Amino acid sequence: MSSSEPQADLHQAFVVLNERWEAARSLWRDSVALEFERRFWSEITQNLRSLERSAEGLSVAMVQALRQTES
Amino acid sequence: MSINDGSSSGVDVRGIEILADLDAALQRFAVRSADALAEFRALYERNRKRLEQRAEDADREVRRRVADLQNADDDDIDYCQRRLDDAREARADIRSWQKRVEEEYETFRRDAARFDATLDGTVKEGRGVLQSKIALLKEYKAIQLDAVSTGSLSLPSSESTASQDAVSIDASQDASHPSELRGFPLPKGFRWIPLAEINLKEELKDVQDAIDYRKVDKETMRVGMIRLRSEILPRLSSERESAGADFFFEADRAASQSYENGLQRIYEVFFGESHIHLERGGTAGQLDITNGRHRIKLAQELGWDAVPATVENGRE
Repeated sequence: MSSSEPQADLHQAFVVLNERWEAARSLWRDSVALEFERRFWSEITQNLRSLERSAEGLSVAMVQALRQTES
Repeated sequence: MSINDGSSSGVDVRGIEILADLDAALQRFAVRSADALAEFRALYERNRKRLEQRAEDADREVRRRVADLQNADDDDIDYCQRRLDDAREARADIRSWQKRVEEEYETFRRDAARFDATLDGTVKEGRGVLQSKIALLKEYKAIQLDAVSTGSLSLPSSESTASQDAVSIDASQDASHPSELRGFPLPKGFRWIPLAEINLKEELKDVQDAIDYRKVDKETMRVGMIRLRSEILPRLSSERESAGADFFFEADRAASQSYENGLQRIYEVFFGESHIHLERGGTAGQLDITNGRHRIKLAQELGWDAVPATVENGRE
């Protein structure tokens, strides 16, 4: 994955965030944590995954298109 | 080590820094993601233009080959026809790739718009929740430190903690500042009403467990009450007349806080239409609760000795 530099940046930004989340989540177990996970974290990760998938699809298509149409 | 919700007695107040790190990481993530998205869109735009340029070149090549064919001698017609066919095929290929890229972009565009909305809404709201939680933990910590200074609480034993900054308090002893509480001025029409004047036994008999908090969950309400004391009441003192709902609306906006997680909402809960309202004339001259049973119950649990309320003497 991460066929382009912006994709790699996006992925790396999430890696750092996820490390902080894992650190917090291992200690933070109250109802607020559950609510935070349900309302915010899940949406962030789901939407990010969708975005990464479609960015990868677009990236691959662009690379192929430029390669295949090179004169 | 744990970050508890304060609903149990014996609360570990640790991990403020961990939550602050998560909050800061969310902020950095939002900035870096927005930058990455902008770069990716720019990359797409550059490639789209390159493809468009190739398509225009292919169009020109087809026109040139058409002209060649029209001007060709009989001997060259077959050759020119093949060149024209090749040019048309090349143009069709480019158009096909353009279409494929546009389709992929359309999927990306939808996902990117959804992600933009996530950055703009969900991440900000999530940070608001984190900041509320951090405020809550800081409040507990401040209570603990104050209590330690007055000798009413002790630090946990070394075997109960692996971290030097770990502190433990009993949430039921959040009665450390009752006199300070009543020192805060209130908006016009409100008074600090001592809990001792309210018919708590009768009025709170149906408010016992977290499940009884139906409109707003107990934790949210608890955080709201602590923020009332730590963030709103001090401003009522310092800002006097100007510290109304509009004042806290501006404060929330400056702090990028949504209404749901901001101070305006808390202010309105206590000093707006749904404020705590009491009525005199009940059992043994005590005050009955017309509105605000859950807040009064939480005030009791937090050790407050009074609540901000309006009182009606209708039954006297």
